[in-house]
This record gives sequence, structure tokens and C-alpha cells, in this order.
Amino acid sequence: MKRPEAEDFLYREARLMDEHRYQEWLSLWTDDGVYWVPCSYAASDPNCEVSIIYDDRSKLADRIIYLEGGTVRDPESRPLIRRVISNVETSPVADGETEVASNFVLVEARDGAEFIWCGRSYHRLRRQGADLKMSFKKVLLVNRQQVLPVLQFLI
Amino acid sequence: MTIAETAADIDVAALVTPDRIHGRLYYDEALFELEMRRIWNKVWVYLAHESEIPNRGDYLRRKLGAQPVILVRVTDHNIRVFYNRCRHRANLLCHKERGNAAELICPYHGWTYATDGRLVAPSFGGAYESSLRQEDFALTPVARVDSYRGLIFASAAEDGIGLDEHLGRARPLLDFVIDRSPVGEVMLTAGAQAARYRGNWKMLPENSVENYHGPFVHRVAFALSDRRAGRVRASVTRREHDQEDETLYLGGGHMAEYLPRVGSPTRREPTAARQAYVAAMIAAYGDARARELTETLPAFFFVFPNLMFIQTHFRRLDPVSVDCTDVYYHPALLKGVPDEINHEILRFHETSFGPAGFVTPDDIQILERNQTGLHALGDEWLFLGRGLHREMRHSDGVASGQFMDENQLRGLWRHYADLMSGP
Repeated sequence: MKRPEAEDFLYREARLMDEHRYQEWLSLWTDDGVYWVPCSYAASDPNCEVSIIYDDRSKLADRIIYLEGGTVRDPESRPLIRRVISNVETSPVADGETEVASNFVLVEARDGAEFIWCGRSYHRLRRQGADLKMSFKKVLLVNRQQVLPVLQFLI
Repeated sequence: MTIAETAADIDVAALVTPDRIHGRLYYDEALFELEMRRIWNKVWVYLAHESEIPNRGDYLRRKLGAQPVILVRVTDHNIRVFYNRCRHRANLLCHKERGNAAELICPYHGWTYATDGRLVAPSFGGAYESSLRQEDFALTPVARVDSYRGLIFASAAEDGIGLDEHLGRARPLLDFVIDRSPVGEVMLTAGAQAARYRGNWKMLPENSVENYHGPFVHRVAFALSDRRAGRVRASVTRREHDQEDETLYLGGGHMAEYLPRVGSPTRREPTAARQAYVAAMIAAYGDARARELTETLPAFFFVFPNLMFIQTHFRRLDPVSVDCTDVYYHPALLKGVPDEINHEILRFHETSFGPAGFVTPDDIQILERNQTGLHALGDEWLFLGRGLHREMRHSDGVASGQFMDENQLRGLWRHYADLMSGP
């Protein structure tokens, strides 16, 4: 996979997340997808260490329901977010999938304050017919082992 | 006049009535300073679990109230707790969160300490008068350290009640949680999620051991969890009158709530791992106790002033300032069980807790709004009268009430007022 194709995917995914278009974002996943946001610097083994997020496809669907209406925050006052994606590098991995690594910087505005989120994401992309899908996404927040504010959007 | 002198003049007892507390208790900086002296630098404070520093030379940074301390495992059975401060010029001796070391070396001027706190040598020691005695410059230990079933507590006061007496009626609740392991040990080896909220520290235990807010703050989280477990939750009205559930003030500032027995693990499909777990529990404890331990949801409880057990995890809080608090969510893994059981605990925990769980963010945002609401000063009193008419006061200081009552919070505040009115 050439980098521009991977970048197109990442930009689209970022736009869907930034605009809270959760169902469309969910459709980017394969059925066996895993979404992992570790909370230790080692980020070694999700079965031995607690994570900030470790979702399979069914928990992802629950997460969407929760974000859509499940919080003390009504949909009109969702956090406003925009992110910039850069430093994209691709490498082929097993089963014809491609790993795409990228950096992001995201500004969140809510409750009269701004919060900055930053990290490096690792996507595994798989071709399904004419579409590209994510089978795995790991997000390494730079401050993942420090105290965090609440995370009520898709990172 | 210093802040401390101002604080000492505050009549805290007048801010806590039988059914109301004053908003100042959450935002007054002078009171926060007074809490440091009369609570955090006096009572037993939970620091860590022994499994977090399993090997000789393992060390770990923690806070005792607002003070930085380090825990060090000196030998297999000897864990020491020191103020994290070089005896030379007060530099933070240990800046890494955790690690393993043969000696603790101050990065500033190289003063070197053994893991038991002895000063090995000041650097270039020849420049000191020969009267400098190394034993005068050992790391300062926190006055008292003790542990209960692996949970390490410390008190900065030389005198006071022992840890067993402090834990009091919270001990059987801790036992229950820990006895869910067939070898009677939990492991806090999975690390912790960490969150910071802009609110007073006392709001966290109040929110963590209180059922009244659940149907409102956690409406969708509860619905998702019920759907996942394939159960139907009784309506709020019915549950409000459920006699089985109980909210308890345990004395000593500790609180507990016994929850509806929904979601007990054995009601799920019994996997091979689950069957092996139950078999190991029966072998260890006998049929009746094993059944109780594996089929009952452990009570949610709070051990004053900073330890909670909630569903899956030990929750620890550090007060940062009067309106800022750090919270750590440590999943309690079970020793001696099939790995799959602990994997399930982690996945179940992450669904609800931590900065991106389905429960924690709603609680934290509610607490932050609570802190904001306190700035409206028209009527400064908060009302805690729920269930007061039916509260049962027992002779031993325990008070009990029904599900969603606020008797446990009233008990917490009585204890707080007592401590804050003391010397």
C-alpha cells in the first residue's frame, strides 16, 4: 500500500471522529477489530496490564451508544475537537495487511477550557473488496501514564 | 496572620449539622490546610499493595496526603516508607515512579542511601567536619507503617490507634474481596488508570459509595451493562424500596453499600476457567463460603480517608489542592486462578472505569459541576437528609439505612467533624 492511500484513510477517519459521526466510524472496522489505548508506558500486554480502552467489535458498538447519548453531557454540548495527523509511515505486516503509524495532535474544547491530546497511532489496514478497513488500532498517548482528564470522544 | 492560624479558628463542628453540611467544606483553602494537619498527617493513609514492589530493592513513589514518599522493599519481609527528600538539601530523592535499585542516590549532590535508609556516604565526605555523623542523616521514615493482607498503610503521627483498630469494621469487607482468591491474595500488578478532576477530594468517596445518583448519572451505562449481562433491572421506584440492599456507616469514617445481587459472575455462562476457579474456591474454603465468595457481588466500600473498593478495583485518591484531586483505579487481580479469570476482570473493569470507561467520566464531570455549583452562595448548605427518619443507629457506632439513603454520608461527616475539631 502506498502512503497516499493510507493517508486518505487516516484523514477520513480523523474527520469522522472529529465530527462525532460514530456510526460511519464504526463501519470502518472489520468484525474482528480491536481498539487499544494502553495506559502504561510499556504498553506490553493487555491481558496483564489494565488499559484505558481495550474494545472488541461488540464493545465498540456499546461505546458508540454511550457516546451518542449515554452521558451527563447532552449531544449539544459534546466536546469540540479537531486533530492534525502527520508523520505517516507504512509497513507491510502479515496476511497482506499494512501497518500505518502516524502522529496526531488534538485540541479539545469543553466547559470553557482547552485540553491538548497527543500521541502516535498504529493502524492495521485490510482490504475488503473495494474498501479499506481497520482490523487493529493502538493509540499511544504521550501522557498515558499520568493523570488524565476524562476522554469522552474517539481518539 | 498565617493561613494555619486562620484555619485553626474555624469552628468545623458548626459546618456539619445532623442533616446538612456547609459548602465551605469543599472550597475553603484554609480548611484544606487544616485537613492536611488534622487528617492526612495523622490518620492511617493507604499507600500501595505489596505486590506492586515484589522484589528486593523495588521502590515506588506515592503520596501521603500531599507529601511525596517512597516505599522500598528492603528484604522479603521488610518494606520501609521514607519521605522522598534528600537529607542534604531536600531534593526529591527519587524522581522515577518506580524501579529497582541497590542504593538510592540523590541526583543533586550524589548523597547515597542504602535501601533501608542509612546514609552510606555524603559525596566527597572529607570536606565535612569529622563530627558529622552518618546516622544523623538517614532518610526520614514515616512514623508508622503497617499492612493488612498486603495493603500497606502509613501514618505520619508517632502516636494513635493501630491499623487493625483503624480498619475496624472495614476488615471483613477487605477480607471478602481478598478471599475471592483461593490462596487469599489479590495482586495489584496490572497497574492503574489515573484521572484528575477539578473538585474537592471528599466528593469522591461521597460519590463512590452512594446509590442515589446511579439511575441519573449512569442511566445509559447501566442499560448497556444490563443488556450485556442479559438481565432486566428493576425500576428505580422498586429498587428504592428494596429491603435487601443496605447502606452502612461502619464507624471510623468508613462506609459501605451492599448492592443488589445482579451480575454475580456465576450467573454468566460457566466457562472451563470459571469452573476451575469455583472448584479451587471450594477446595480452599469449603462449599458454603466458596459459594458466598463467588456468587455475591462484594460490597462497595470506603476506608477513610483514601481507599475504596468498587466492583473490580481498589480506588485510591490523592488530594492535590482544595479543588483538585487525583484518582487511581487499580484492578484487583486474583492470585491462584486461571489467567482467563483475571483477563475477564480487566476487560470488565475497563468497560466501566478509568478516563474512558462508561461510568467514571460521568461521575467526574458531575463532581466538577458540583464544585462549580458551590460558588453560588445564596444558600450555602448541602442537604444530606435522605432516609434520616428511618436511619438505624446501632450501639457500636454503626448506622444502617436503605438503598439510596444518605446515612453513610452523614456518618462520614460526623467523623470528619470530630477529627477536624481535635488538636
